[in-house]
Amino acid sequence: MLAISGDSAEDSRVFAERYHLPFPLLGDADLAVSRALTGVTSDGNTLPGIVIVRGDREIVERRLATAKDDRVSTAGLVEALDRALGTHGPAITDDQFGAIDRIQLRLDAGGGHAPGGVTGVANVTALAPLARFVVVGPRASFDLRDAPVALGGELALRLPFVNDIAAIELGGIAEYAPVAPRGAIVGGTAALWFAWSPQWSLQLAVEVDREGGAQRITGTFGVARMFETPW
Amino acid sequence: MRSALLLASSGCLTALHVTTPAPTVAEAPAFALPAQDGHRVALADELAHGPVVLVFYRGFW
Repeated sequence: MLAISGDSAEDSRVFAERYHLPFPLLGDADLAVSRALTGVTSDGNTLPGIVIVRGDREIVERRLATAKDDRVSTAGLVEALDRALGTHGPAITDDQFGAIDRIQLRLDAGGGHAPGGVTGVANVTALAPLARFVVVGPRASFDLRDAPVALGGELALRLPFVNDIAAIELGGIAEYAPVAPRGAIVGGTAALWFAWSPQWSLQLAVEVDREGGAQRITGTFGVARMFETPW
Repeated sequence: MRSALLLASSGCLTALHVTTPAPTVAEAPAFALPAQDGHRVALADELAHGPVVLVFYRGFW
């Protein structure tokens, strides 16, 4: 975004500092750019307006002020941007990184039915996006009743929706419990993931595992801290 | 009714001292203008990163 007026650099500097504006304020001293794109008022000032220019330089939207206090609302501008650019509102992004593209460090806890009876479980999982539809990473899980510690990993397919801030996940789990009762644990999980910021998400999951020939069903609820993917 | 509308619109125009809006053009002309910190910003450089929203305002007055 670029803001353009006939102001001097000094006036623009004061204005930008006073309102902590993160975008550049450009000085159109001879009003040549204003004259070409919005217009010039008879008192020698820029005619206020908003012009949306696509990457190929095509002007896809132009709105000019028709009264002194005529302003486009933020919602109106977002709507115009969506219409002009074929987007769908502002995704939850932070420095160009959408929540969907981030590494997640998840902590989930819950309970369910294990071979030995009712149990409580907790999982710590680090998931990295391999692609938009796939996340993979190591996992450590803790089961109060049957497997105090199990180490392994998870691979999940995810189906993003609601502007990539939510996803349905279907994952596979493979783990090994190194302490008694030792053994392999394999299972499947179905989860609903929701990011409420680029840094934090919530997830609700159901998991069915086989351990030592018996079945364990658990439900968990958890939170994830998300980090920028370094690649 | 029509004259009332005309009167109202002329009132708006008078309030803003509009002369003539710029003609509608399909393509933005190339330009480079100085930012408040002195460095020149070229539209072409900004467009290389994607679409650009140009906000024209009356300034600090």
